[in-house]
Amino acid sequence: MKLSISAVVLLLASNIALAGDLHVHFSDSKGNLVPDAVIEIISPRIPVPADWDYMGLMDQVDKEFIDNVVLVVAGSYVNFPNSDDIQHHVYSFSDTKSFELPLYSGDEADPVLFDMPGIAVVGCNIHDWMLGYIYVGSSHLMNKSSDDGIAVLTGLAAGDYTFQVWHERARRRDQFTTFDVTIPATGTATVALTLELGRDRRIRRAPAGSGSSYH
Amino acid sequence: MAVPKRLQFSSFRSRIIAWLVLLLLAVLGTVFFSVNRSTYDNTRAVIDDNLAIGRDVFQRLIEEREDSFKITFRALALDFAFRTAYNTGDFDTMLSVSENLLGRTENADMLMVVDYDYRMIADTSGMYPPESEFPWTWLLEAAEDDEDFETSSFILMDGTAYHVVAVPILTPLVDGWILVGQRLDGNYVYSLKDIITSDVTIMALDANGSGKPVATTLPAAQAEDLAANFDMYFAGGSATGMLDLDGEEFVSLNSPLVSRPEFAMVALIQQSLP
Repeated sequence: MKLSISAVVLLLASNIALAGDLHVHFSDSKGNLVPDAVIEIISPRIPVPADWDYMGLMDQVDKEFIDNVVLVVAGSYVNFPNSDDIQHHVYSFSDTKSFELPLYSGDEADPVLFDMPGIAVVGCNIHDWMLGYIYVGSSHLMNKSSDDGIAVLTGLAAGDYTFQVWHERARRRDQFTTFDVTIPATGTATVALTLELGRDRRIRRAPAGSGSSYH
Repeated sequence: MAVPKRLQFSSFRSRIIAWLVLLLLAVLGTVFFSVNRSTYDNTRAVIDDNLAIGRDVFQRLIEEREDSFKITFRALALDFAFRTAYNTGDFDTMLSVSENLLGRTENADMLMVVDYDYRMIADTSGMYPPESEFPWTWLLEAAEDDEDFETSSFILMDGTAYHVVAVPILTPLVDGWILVGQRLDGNYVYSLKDIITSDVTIMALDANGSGKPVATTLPAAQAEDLAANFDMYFAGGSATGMLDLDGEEFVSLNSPLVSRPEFAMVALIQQSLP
């Protein structure tokens, strides 16, 4: 992932906001909007609120993980409900969290504890194209870009911050690249980043046995 | 100079006979050459047909081998125990797994496991230690460009040709490849000759186009002759060639296997002219 700040900080005045926001616009080298790019504030360390909900959810619908990228704070439990009418066998070999939920239906599987920051790549042993990511942050100040390619953090106290960026298709050496940004007392700091993305390493969905459609 | 009287066609009858004999010789000569030409053309046509059939059979066998390896190793690459072993990063265990898989796969002569960074994890040939760079990176680059992350081609390893197939290892990302290969050696070409009743030579070509037989059913002297004159026989990448190999004339059909800037490989299907 080659990152370049093509437009740095744009301040939009606001008389209402008590704290500033951060908007990070992600596009690829061809100008396409990039969803599911994660930003996380890594400096300064802001304590996680006492009432934080340390729970995450990654559902399985139509033999796909929903959401594809789930963000949780280290120490969180993640549920993997199965909303399909068939069983799934969820697993991860990642260093961040290695686990296996042998074939199950519905809500039978116990939640999985993710106690170490990092990325857990999640798959289904019987549907090899199913692929999901659990992003385990050390901070609660993180978000991912939506379909419009924009990741938003709101309510940040004014000051200098360092945030890191992750995307599933970024090259390994470019993962978790960091950027500095100054958040104003009021208004929004906007950062535009261009990501150099590699090939999606997800195997294609298995063709249906009777033709070219997919199931 | 006077012609001896006994050689002169003094009579009209003698002259007629002489003309008839000459005419008969001319007709016989024409018939002989026509039949000879026709026989040659027919023989050549039969040989050309045989060579084309031989090439088609060879290509079909190659495709069937690829399909067989892909079916077998797709299943093995998805085996949970295999994937668990792969993720241990334990090279000795992976070599043991690879040797087990190789031993149970019909017609497979080599098996390698390579990670997504083109780093060798296991090699049943013993030539490439763990963590060494995979030598045929172009092969895996081709696999990365394929929608199923698979590929097949031909490589030279230690002077021996291999027909290889690569299938991805999913963890669940595409995280590496299993590379399985069949040796195209003397046993292979002789078994092919039994099927197609033509001689078979696998030629490896270097960057200059110089050829070297890596497996052949030809006698050594003819194989040496072929290597020495390969450029001449197949100038411009011609698909067919007439070869004079150690005094025996062959018709040869050239079937390309792989073409890279640094090397190429072709299969020659050959029959001698009677």
